[in-house]
Amino acid sequence: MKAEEFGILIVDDEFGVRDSLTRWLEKDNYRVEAAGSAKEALLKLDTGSWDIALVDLKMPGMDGIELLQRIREIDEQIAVVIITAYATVDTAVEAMKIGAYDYITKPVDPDDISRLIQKALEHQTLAKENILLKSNIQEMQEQYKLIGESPAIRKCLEMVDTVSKTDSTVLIRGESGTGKELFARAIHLASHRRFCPMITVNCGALPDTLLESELFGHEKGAFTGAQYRRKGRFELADGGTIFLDEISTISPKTQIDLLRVLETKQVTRLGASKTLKLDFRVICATNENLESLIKEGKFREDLYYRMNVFTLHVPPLRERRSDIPLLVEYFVQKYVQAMNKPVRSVTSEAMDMIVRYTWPGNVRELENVIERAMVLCKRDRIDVDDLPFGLYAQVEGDNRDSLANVERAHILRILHRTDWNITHAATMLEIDRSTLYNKIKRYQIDR
Amino acid sequence: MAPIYCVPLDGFPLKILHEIGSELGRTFHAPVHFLPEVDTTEQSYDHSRGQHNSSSILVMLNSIIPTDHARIIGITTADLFIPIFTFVFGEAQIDGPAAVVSGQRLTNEYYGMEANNLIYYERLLKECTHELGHTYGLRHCLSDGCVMRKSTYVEDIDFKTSEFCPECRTYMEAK
Ligand SMILES: [Zn+2]
Ligand SMILES: [Zn+2]
Repeated sequence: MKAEEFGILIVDDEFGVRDSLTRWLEKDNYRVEAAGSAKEALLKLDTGSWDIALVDLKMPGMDGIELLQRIREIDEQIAVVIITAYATVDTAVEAMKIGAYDYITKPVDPDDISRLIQKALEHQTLAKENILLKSNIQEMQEQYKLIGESPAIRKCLEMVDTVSKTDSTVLIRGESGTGKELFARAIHLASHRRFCPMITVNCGALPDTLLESELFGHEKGAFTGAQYRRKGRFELADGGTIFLDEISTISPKTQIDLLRVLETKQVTRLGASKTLKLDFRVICATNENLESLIKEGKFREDLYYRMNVFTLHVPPLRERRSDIPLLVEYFVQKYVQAMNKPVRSVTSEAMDMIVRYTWPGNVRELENVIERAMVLCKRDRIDVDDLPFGLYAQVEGDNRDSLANVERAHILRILHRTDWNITHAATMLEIDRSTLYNKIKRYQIDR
Repeated sequence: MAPIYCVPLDGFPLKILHEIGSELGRTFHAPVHFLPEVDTTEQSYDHSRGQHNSSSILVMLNSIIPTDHARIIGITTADLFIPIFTFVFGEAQIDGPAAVVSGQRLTNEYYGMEANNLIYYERLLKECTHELGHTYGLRHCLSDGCVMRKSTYVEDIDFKTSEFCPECRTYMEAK
């Protein structure tokens, strides 16, 4: 990018500083403006676009810290550099913790400020990419949750591959806990948009009025409490992907607005007259039956068709049981690192129980169960005792809550506790040894 | 081309001023006039910093410029600063009439090295050409060796030439 494409805003109550610094930076071709107070700065932030704000810490009225906080609310991308005197370096360091890019101590060497600005601008240019690079690595790891060799997951991944090559809207359907967001990320990361952000909006988590301003942004004064301009999620997703989770929960009014945005790719901030032409891909997700919501008149059919260009069905865990051992191994490794516990694996009995369970909460429930087991586990392998009791009672079968199933699980547990000492186990179970042998045979329990 | 006025500030040696002045006249194809010495202490000296505020000097130079459209450059041996900076080699108004350059940090002695008049003269000429270039509207140039390259270290000044690169020269010739 050329220097003149970068905007630098200087905020200082001292005229001499503003004036000379403006002149000095203009010689490097930057677009420079100065504000004499935080208030004036907010006005300029409202009307112009800025890459760097050089903000004096001590100003009468609103100080640099408060201004920094306000800037963070309006725009996450501006690099705020705090100008401070030696005496207030502590505060400047605090400022870094709440999101200042850096600080300079007065008086500063011209070379230092040159380099700082250059660095900040490089940072700006790379910001999106850097954030992505960082989250990509994380995401790639998370993507391993998509691990699986079952035909069901294979089919899904093939679909991800196909749709990632298009720019079409995708509707991801699946029970809760199946990892719909992970599939959305996988599509995003496999697409040409991977160098721009994927912005996630959980539509179910916000009341309708908030959702609108969250999605579309708002101008200052657009509604009570809108003190400053704010970019909407669609704007933040420009160039990238927007992921709208729990899409079925949005109100009829927002459905109309959303339909218009999907059709025109244009967004108008609440309270604004100007529309913004944006470039984004939409991925929606739901665990509801949209077709019946349409029949009930709760969901617009035209929006449904607009969203539903491609549908990706994420299978529930019970339909891909063969992937469970791989997932278990993945989560064990994940929590071994996080908890620093010497747990290496899962006993075959525990694994057997895990594989047979119905998993109504899907992969998320599996992860929770493994995490809990890791906490409880006192040996180097997760055992039946470490699993929640619900699992014993609910192992899949034609009659999963049957006494037989519970009995099998209980015997298994006791055998483990006694390290397969049949005499001890029989004593604990208050049955004789031959009865125990018979039950082991009947329930096909093996070591 | 309108004239360039050269002003010795706070006892700057006239001999060097005249040499620099005539060289600037050749570079900018402008007649050069020399104004009497000005003492800037009262207006620009900052007691707490022990340096002269270059922006205040620019204000003063604006007030003494004799003719419209002319350029004026003050040269001093005093150390210059602008607020928040530790120092500046010089300052100029873009498209403005005034520029100021300090020789203080351009000598080898300042950096504890053996004095070298030729090097000092060259650095001073480069900085004066550079700051005057700004008064004609030139911004910093990224071409290697161009006098309009920004220098924040004395080594940067030594690295560049006292000449404009072809692009900056074309700009100046159109003036
Ligand atoms: Zn310059
Ligand atoms: Zn040049």
